[in-house]
Amino acid sequence: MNTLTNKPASELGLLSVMGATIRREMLLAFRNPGDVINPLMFFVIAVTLFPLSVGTDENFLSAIAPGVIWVTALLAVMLSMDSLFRADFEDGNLEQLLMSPQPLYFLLLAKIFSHWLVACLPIILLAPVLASMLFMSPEGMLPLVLSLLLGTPVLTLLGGIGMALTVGLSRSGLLLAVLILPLYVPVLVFGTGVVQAAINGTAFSGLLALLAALFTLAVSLSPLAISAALKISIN
Amino acid sequence: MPEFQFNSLAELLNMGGYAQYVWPVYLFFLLFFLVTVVPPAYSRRKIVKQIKARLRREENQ
Amino acid sequence: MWQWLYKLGSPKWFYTIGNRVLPWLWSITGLLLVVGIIWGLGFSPPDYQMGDNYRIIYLHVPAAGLMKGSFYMMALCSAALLIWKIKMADIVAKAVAPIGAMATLLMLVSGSLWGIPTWGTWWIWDARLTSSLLQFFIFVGIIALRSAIESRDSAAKACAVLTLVGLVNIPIIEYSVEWWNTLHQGASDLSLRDSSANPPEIWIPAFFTGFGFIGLFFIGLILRSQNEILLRERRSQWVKDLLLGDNAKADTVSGIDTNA
Repeated sequence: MNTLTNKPASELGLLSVMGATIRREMLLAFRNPGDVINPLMFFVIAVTLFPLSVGTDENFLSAIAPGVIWVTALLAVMLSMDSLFRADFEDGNLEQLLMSPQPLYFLLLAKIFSHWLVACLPIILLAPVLASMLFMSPEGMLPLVLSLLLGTPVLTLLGGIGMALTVGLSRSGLLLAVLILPLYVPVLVFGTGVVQAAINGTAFSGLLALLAALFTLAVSLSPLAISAALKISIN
Repeated sequence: MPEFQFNSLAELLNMGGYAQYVWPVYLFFLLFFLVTVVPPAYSRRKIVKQIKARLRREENQ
Repeated sequence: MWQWLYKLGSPKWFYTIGNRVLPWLWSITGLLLVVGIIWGLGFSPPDYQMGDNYRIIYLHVPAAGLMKGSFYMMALCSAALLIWKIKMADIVAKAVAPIGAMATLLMLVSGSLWGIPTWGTWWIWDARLTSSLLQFFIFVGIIALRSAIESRDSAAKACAVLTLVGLVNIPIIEYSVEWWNTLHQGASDLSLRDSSANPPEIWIPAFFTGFGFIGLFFIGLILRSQNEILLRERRSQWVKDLLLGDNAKADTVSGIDTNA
């Protein structure tokens, strides 16, 4: 981390290191546009598969729209998790991260925040467009975006735990899915619940608050789990 | 000689009420045109500069 | 004629011929597009059904043509690369892919905007739009594959294989989407080509924009291919002469050689 500034490692403030981490991740993402484009394209293509399979009946599509958008967004986020630690693991950067004098907790938060910016934000921005293609009612649009804004960070953090556990394994692909999909269920339930409630006309702020609670829990606790998992995987 | 279909500039811009559909398409075409032509031109300058710089460096060695 | 095609297989000749062709291409394309657009926007009579909204077709139809044409060209280049190992073919395929993708986007956007007053919705799962959307995904996939593979030669072959796979698949995809669409016939399929009582003069501007688009396609193709040629051949003598010899001030974009 101290290759980005000229000061010795021990003198760097935490915030500047976090800032440097985020900048580095953004630079890497800029050089690998696939990290942005691929999750997004998966999201779009997977959503397209639904009308192709269940038909174009407007009423039916609009009924399943919140669920379809949420599930495909969830799967896209899960598939994007591979880029979180793998590159760093392969070139030894992950070990450097673990040995850094800065608290691992915050460095991980910075890394995951960057990953969320790169992989999830485009999905959130495109979700209303896809929802509109599935004829979702307009009342659901803002709640959809809000639920994804709160939910995708949780998905990323939980996915980070799964990735940390499996990064050392050679063929972890679907294992990651098996590990974290059960953990994703509450987020999915509350996320779609928010949208569904909005479409039905009932108040959705309670469910949104529950999502916010999950968010807070995830932000505070998962970095601990991730560092523990990373230390196990690196050995 | 075909005749001009609109009676004034305002009518032309209004496109018979369909302005909000027709003009964005033509604007997107402008974007298409620019994207097809501008990035390669920009890259050309960059590439030429890079190659020239390296060639001069090699010549001076 | 075959000798000329042969020459195109050499990067140096492609570059030189490209430079000679570009000025003509710029003027002709510019003329065609300007005439086509002005005629289409201002001079052709309004459609008796859709009013002035139909003027979108002057861009939508050529864009659709470009989408198909780019993919066929990419497929041709892929075959040339795999069968005859012509490296220049890969350069052209790489150059064409983003143009094709952008043309598909233009087609989708123009189709949607045409659709809002016509179908009442900006998106409709009809056969043509859905097939074009899938075609767009295929373009993006090919571009993504090329940037994912680090070795240039492996990337070239991989993209060639993917493109040919796509070529075989596209008729199958279109047929299946057609079949799917007849099953799930939602709103009545108001095809853009329904020109029931329209006079034939409506299609004249399309003639101009159509050829203008083709010209634009080749301009983009030549510019991007030339860039790639410069990159790949930067160590060769002719590039050195071109860039350094006589302090060449050849305007390498418009193709006008201010030295000649």
